[in-house]
Amino acid sequence: MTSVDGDSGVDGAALARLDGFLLSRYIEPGRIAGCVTLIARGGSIVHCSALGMMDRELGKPMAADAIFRIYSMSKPITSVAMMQLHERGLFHLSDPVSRFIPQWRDLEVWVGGEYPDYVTRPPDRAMTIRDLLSHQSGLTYGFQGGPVEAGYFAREVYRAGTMRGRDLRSMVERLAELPLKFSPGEHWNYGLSTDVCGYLVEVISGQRFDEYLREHIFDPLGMVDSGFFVPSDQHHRLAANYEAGADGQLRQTDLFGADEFLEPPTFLSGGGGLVSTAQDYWRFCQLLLNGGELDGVRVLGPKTFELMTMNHLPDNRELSACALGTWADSANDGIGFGLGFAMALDLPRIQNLGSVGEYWWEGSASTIFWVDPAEELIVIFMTQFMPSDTFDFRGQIKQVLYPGLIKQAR
Amino acid sequence: MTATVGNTGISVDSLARLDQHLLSRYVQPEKIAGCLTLVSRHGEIAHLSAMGSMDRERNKPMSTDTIFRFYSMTKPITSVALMQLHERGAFQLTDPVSRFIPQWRDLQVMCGGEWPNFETRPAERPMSMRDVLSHQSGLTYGFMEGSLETAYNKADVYQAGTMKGRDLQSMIDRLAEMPLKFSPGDNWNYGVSTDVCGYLVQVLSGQPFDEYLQEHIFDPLGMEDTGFDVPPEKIDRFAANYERGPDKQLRLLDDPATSNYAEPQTFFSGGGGLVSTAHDYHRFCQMMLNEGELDGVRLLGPKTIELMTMNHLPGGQDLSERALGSFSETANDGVGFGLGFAMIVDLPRTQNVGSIGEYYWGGAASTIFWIDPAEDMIVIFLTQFMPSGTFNFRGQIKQILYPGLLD
Repeated sequence: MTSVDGDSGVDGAALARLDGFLLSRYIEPGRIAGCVTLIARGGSIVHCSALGMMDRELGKPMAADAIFRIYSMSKPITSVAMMQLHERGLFHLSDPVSRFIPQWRDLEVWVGGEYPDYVTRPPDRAMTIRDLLSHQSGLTYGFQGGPVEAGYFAREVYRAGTMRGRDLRSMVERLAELPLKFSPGEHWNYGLSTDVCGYLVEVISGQRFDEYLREHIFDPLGMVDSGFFVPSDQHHRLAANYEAGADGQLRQTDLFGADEFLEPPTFLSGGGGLVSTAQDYWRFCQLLLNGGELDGVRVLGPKTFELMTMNHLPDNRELSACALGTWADSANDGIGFGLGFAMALDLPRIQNLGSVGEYWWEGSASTIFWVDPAEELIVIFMTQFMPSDTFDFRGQIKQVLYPGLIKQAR
Repeated sequence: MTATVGNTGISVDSLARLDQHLLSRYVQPEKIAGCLTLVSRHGEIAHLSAMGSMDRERNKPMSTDTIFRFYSMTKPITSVALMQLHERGAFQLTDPVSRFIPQWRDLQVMCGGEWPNFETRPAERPMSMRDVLSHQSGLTYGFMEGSLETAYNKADVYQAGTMKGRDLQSMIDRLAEMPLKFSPGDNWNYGVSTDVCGYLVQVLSGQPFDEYLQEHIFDPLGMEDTGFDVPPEKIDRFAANYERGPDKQLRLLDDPATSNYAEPQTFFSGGGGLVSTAHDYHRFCQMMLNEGELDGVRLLGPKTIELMTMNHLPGGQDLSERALGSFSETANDGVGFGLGFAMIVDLPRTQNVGSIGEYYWGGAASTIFWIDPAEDMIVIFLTQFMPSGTFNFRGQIKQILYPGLLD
């Protein structure tokens, strides 16, 4: 289905080319099962296209209201939740995290050795809340590989798909026994920082994290299909999740747990635990683009969004210069990182069309979104395919869609 | 009150001074045979002035519809063609060129010796599509100085005017046997990069390059007199090309009647093969200034043109910091380079009037153009005189014309 708003300033031919591109390059060759693409400009949805299948094995076609595992696209939502508490004066970005997690007061930094015989030193400075919101904390993810990460696995700190019966407190307590990968602020490193933010929302608000999100974000925004699980009467709307098998053919994946999301979890992962729909996530993005208000409901102030979408890497450096591991790749040239979002700093360094100041994130099952304030544009692309670095949907959608931005929406 | 031309906001006096300058400094002293100047602003042609001769030997006066050898002013057109395919998702700027030219997978970088016994090393990174669009590929031109350039000539990689019977594929094949001048991205260097872009248009579109340009650029824009050759019925509109002899007198370099351009080409040089007119090139420039659309026909999106006209040199550096070698169609201070165009990034460093963001290029027979988005203006100056570094038409036209921009 394609609908084009004549006043949107988006060329219908470019939208048709985008659908044709996704169909011929990805769906028809069986690289992904299906996808939903939602494009909004100037506050209205100008394109919502469901292509391919949401479940190949059951022969169910993709639907515009399909529910997707959005994994790390949970992080911007968790970050907004934290910043709502910031607006209430409940913490400063410069506060040490140990103010709210006392058992982290004496966190050490890894120097050498293997788990459990690490050689450590005291950090150069305390981990702050800004460090958590911007992945500069020294925390990591077990799957990234390395001696600290091996400790994460050994202590079963966190692993997607294995957290049943566990809660956020147990993650925080196990982290208390492990060293940081680096002294806070020294690097950017993808990790459990946003899960810790979810825990801090609980500590600071006094509400369970899922209840907090429901009351302060999902209900006010009308994100009716977003949450930590899919209710049983909606299971038929959850898209199947795929990977490429050894033969190159699509097959369903249980990489992060096959039955996750079908019942209420005990571990409320702010870093990757949510399911959502294109429509719901659009409402969240439209809130961001509007500076914190949607349909008369204010969730955050414009100045808070301004701060969140500024580059918080030291000396305005780029992700590729600050990041460790695969994130230090030159694919991250020209990109900064704020409080929960990456943003475009320099288009020639990114080597693609776009706008300075556009901000985004993505999820492990290849879901992506971005918000482009200069073009008043929101793009949400939902599919279910792991791992997320297999295809460059963001770059390709941009290069086909952006030529169709004919007149500035402002 | 100063009189201006129509709604263009350009003073009548400055245009008269410009004509007088060209006439008294260049045409009357026979430094050039003739020239044609087109200035347009706010979508309206303010000035179209033909002076001198288009063919001195036949006493033919310059005309507003004279056909010129555009040489490197072909490059912006080729770059637009390639970026149209970018809009179709056919490639990404970060893609290695060897994705589309497999025989270039193992290109080496020259570090010493003489052809055919070069010492080489592997490149530090593969050549990317952005590198060939921005002259950061490590490719070069045989007519410039250097041992690699000599090798280009000895191996007949490419030499303007000698390509009869050759095709783009043969250039690609011969380049596969040559090392690069530097590791891609290490420098900016004028060279056959844009000819490679033309070849890539063929590979990516599946159309011969000349047919692609005809269908996707010349026909949509109504560029009726633009192409790789001059058809017989238009040969009387084709200007002669000149150089300066040892006696400092003008000397005929290419007679229209016997010119290579008078017959169909086999080598479609995206770097320098086109002939065109002031009218046609103005249509191309107006499309660019309009952010990709002209008279209801869209060739590119505004965001694509935005990206093409940004400075793609690393760290926002200018050409004076990045360029190797002596030759190109621009001065280097305060000038950046994007995808097919140079642009002004710093006016005090260019030491002339102008606008930040003005983008441009020129051709080997001293043709020039620029597009100034800030002033909503296009300037095209056409003559036929080689080499192009002899006179600074761009700087002089600017300094006389810009004081006349009054709104």
